[in-house]
Amino acid sequence: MPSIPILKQDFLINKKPILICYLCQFFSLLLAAAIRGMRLMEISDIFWDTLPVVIIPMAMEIVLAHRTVRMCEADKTMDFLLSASVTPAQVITTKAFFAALNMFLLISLSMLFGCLFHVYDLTGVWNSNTYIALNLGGMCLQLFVGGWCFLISCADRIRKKTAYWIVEAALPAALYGIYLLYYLFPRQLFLLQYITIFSLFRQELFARGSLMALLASVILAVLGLGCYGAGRYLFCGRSLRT
Amino acid sequence: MIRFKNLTKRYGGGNGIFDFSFEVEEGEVFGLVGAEGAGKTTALRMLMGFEEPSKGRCAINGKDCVKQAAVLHRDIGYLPDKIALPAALTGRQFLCSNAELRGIRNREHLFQAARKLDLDVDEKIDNMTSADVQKTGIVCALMHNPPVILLDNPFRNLDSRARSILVDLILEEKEKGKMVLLTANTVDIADLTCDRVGLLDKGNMVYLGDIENMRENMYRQYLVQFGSSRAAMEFSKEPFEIKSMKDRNLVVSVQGELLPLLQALARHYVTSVEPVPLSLEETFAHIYGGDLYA
Repeated sequence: MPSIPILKQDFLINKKPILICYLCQFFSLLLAAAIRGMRLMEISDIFWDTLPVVIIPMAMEIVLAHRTVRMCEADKTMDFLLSASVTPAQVITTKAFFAALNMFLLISLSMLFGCLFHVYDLTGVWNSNTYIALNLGGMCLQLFVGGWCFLISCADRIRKKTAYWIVEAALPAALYGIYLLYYLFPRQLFLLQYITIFSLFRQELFARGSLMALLASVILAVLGLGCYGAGRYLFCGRSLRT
Repeated sequence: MIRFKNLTKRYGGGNGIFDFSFEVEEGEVFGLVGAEGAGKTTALRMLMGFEEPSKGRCAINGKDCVKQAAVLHRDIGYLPDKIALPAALTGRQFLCSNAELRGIRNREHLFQAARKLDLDVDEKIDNMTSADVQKTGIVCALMHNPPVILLDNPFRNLDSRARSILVDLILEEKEKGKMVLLTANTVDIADLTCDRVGLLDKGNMVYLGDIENMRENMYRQYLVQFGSSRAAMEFSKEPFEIKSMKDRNLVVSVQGELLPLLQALARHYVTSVEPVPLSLEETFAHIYGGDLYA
């Protein structure tokens, strides 16, 4: 079970980056609403789907995984937590829960806005059900991204800062960049879809209500949970035994 | 009782701690003294169960520090070395959060220690001096009135006033019958509080004994300034080891009791006496290998 005092402490410590992410999300949605008024559909699409479902939550996952695990270990604040009467498993589970909960709330917020503004009417290819499915799929994608960042933050074998940031942050960002390239030039760069995990999150499949979208989301969620589990195992393995 | 039994932790490259065996009794303050990298922090982290021994074991009140770490933590107050607290919080927020984690409802004891240390708990940690951060860590370690107290370099960053308050706090805890194990880089720090000390050198315990005995073995140097070159010359005939002599300044070395030196100095025209800072290895050269002054 997650520990409420640790959750509270993590919230107090990370309220600034969390607030920044919420502000970005809010501005992205406001921009989308404004652009929608101008009927610039394609751009509006980016502000409704890409930014609030993929980019901003991914940035938040990267930052929170770093700040709640890696940074706490580096500055020894983790030692204070571990020396209290809580097990390392409980500490690290709470940290994982904190990151996942924030991602869930952030995407839920944008989904709520999207539903209130009937964003799914924008391009004519969405309806309320497929739009909600897209956001739930986005949550599964972010569960994977968050799990990956969490795993890398827990892996103390990656000691060099540069190597750590490359694997924790730059790699997911690069994989998403590759997916965007494929998305923009699907015929010329079709091979790119096979080298990025972001190919499992395809908006057109959600728009069609395809079962493949559901299956891909389940795969992402399972992989994400696996990463969280592996991170927890690594952390507990090197910390005190329960 | 804190018990180390043949405890070894190897990190590779010859680093770690090797074959530690000693005990700390209730109502005793024990000091682990050594230079950076001597193994003091590792020893404390092993007691906290943060590291698994390569060989041997350590236990507190019969409970294994690795297997029963979470249970033991209820009874341990721990101050890590070189702490940095969450900068976004105030001291109060940090302490209350840790108190909540430990299930402490009555926070009077917590803020009592803060008041004694003259710590403003409402200051944001980001704005705190390193001394106040250290004080916050100390309050956090003592907040739950633990019977076992492990303090890793507790005097780091503290000014002389805060040091003396901390000495009083440690001695108060000792009076209550608590076990205190602390680490220090220099013997004079341990001298203020400890009943017994262990001297560490590259992970090996090179000396284990009571502080009185240690004082007798301490090697010190003093820069003595005489009123004239002649007075200095006369003093040099006394039976003390003169390390250097320049005009009316002498560097005199002494091992053990200071009284004979002070008595001899009293017979001469002395204008000032200043201790020469020595490393731990120099202070206990005879323990650490002995050939430093050969």
